[in-house]
Amino acid sequence: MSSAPKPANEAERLAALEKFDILDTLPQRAFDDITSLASTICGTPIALISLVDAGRQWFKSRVGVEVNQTSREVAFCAHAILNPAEVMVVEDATRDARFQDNPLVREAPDIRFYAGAPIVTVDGYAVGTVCVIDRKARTLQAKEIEALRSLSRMVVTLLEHDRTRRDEARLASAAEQRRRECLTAVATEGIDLKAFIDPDYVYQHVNHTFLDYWARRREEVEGRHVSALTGERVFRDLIKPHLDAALGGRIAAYEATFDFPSRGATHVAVTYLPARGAQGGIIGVVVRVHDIQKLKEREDQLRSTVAMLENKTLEQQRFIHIVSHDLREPINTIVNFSSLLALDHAADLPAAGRRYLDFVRGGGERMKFLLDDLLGFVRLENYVIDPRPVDLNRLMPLVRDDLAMAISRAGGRVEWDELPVVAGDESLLRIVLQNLVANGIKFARRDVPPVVRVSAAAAGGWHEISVRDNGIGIPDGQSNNVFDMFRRLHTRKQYEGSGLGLSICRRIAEMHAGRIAVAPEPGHGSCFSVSLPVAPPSARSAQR
Amino acid sequence: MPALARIVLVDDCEADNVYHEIIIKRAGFNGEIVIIENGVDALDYLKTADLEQPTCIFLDINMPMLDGFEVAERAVALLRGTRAVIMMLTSSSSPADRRRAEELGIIKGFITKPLTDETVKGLLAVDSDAR
Repeated sequence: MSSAPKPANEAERLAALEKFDILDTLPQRAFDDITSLASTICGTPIALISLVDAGRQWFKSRVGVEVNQTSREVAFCAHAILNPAEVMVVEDATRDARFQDNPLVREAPDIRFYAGAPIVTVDGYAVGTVCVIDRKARTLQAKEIEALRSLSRMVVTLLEHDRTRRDEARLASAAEQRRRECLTAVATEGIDLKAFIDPDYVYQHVNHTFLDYWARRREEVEGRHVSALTGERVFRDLIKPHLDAALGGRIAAYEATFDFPSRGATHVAVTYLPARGAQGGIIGVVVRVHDIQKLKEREDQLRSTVAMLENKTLEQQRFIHIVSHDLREPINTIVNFSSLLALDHAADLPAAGRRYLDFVRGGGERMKFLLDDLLGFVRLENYVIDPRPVDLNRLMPLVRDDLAMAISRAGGRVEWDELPVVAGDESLLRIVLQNLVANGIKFARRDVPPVVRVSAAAAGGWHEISVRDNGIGIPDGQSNNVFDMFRRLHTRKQYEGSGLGLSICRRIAEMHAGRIAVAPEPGHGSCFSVSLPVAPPSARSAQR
Repeated sequence: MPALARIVLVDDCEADNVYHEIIIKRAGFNGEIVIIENGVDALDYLKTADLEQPTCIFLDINMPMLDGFEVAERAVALLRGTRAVIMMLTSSSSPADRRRAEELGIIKGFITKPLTDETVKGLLAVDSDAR
């Protein structure tokens, strides 16, 4: 007997066979149909689909043979695959030098006739045969040989098809695996505590963060009742009512402080979401616990800051009260008695004494005005305006009268055009006009009688009230500074004032949601403009 | 009808009392000027004084023991049916104090210190007209 040599491409051939993943699989109907056909067509008692492995041939399907494999040494098919393009036909094995002393010929199953069509993959590897075997010598007709060839091609098709399907299944299961990993990650990772609680209040699943906060191992939580973790009382009074709401189909949310073993007392926002199964019924509750301890701490901090600020405001008001009374009293005394002294006894004093007395009076008066302005400004802080229509035409004569003394002393004049009715606080607007007009009178040029002119222009819901003067103007680059508190551009000797007047005007303009600005007047002087809201039409007619 | 016969200054500040007394006299007031330095003494005075005489009581607000508002509240009964009136004379110009004085009813005026010549003259004129 001579065993078949290995084909030249044996390694690749075995690899090709391996890829089909077919060896030692269970019988399959399609392959059995092929052997059955082969046996019927060729009229042989035996038909096989034999796959030639490294040391054996294995039968994927067999007719008329009990064993499902033999050693490769005795395999006829090992010879047949040496020539992939040919159907190997052995008409009488006893007369063939290759097989005459083959045990399969000399003993059972007493092979005399063999015909094997190689099963050749699309890559050209002969991995086995479809073969027919008889116990008596015989021949095959050409069309039977052709049929065997067709059947072997069918086997290849079946094998390829099987492999494709298996590959797809493998891919699908890999995708499914990834999907499951993603879902698990979504459910388990993250900074929030997450859990799934079933309708019996038992933890079915919790995430890493949950375990971390509670300092438990998974098996100490999953499968246990909620109360085992939280304690009976907390469960009954706090958790169960909310869980029941969620089990009833409603989203439940609450905030509470839990004493987490790994974190200490921690304020958390808890959300319970009803979880519905495929049928729409509620299968449990998805729990999300969000740590808001930091937020809570910040809130507390904010609250204490607000309280502190409110306290400060109260203190400030007390301070204002003290200033208004305790400071005013001694100032009044200085002013009152220095005036009396000057009035009654000036003639008794030497020239230097009269001069010193003037300094005392002047200082006292300034202190008094400064205090008045300061109090006026600080009071604005707490003042809430209730805008009503204010007819500026009615206000101007009052302003002029208020300033009558200063105007006549300066030999000046105040004029105004037809002015609008604005929405605002009358007494505050009077203060603004008074300050602006007084400034115009005060900051006069030497030897030029001051003229202050008030006019108005309307623009998109706003009235722009302009107060122009012919005075000294404001030096370049100082326009924005004039509204700052205690900003004075001149020495006290030149011009009196507390430095608060324009700060007060700006504050009042802002309280009216308006603006105040200053621009140089062509030639000499300045133009202050205040924008104020237009009064609603109905209110305007009521006013007139 | 008799003109204002008496002015009572209730103030714990001696300097203010001296100054106000001078101003009142210079404005031409010839009647009695009574100076009391605290609210308790002021109430005692009102209990015994003949208030059929036209009297103007100037109350400071900020005083030890009883402040001006408290004195005014307790004087309501004493002044009922008399010819005495109360006015606040204070260094406060606070709107809150002014509002409180108006709400009390018994207080007929709110003057921010110091008392001036014009204020006193105005008061004397109105008072004599009214009576």
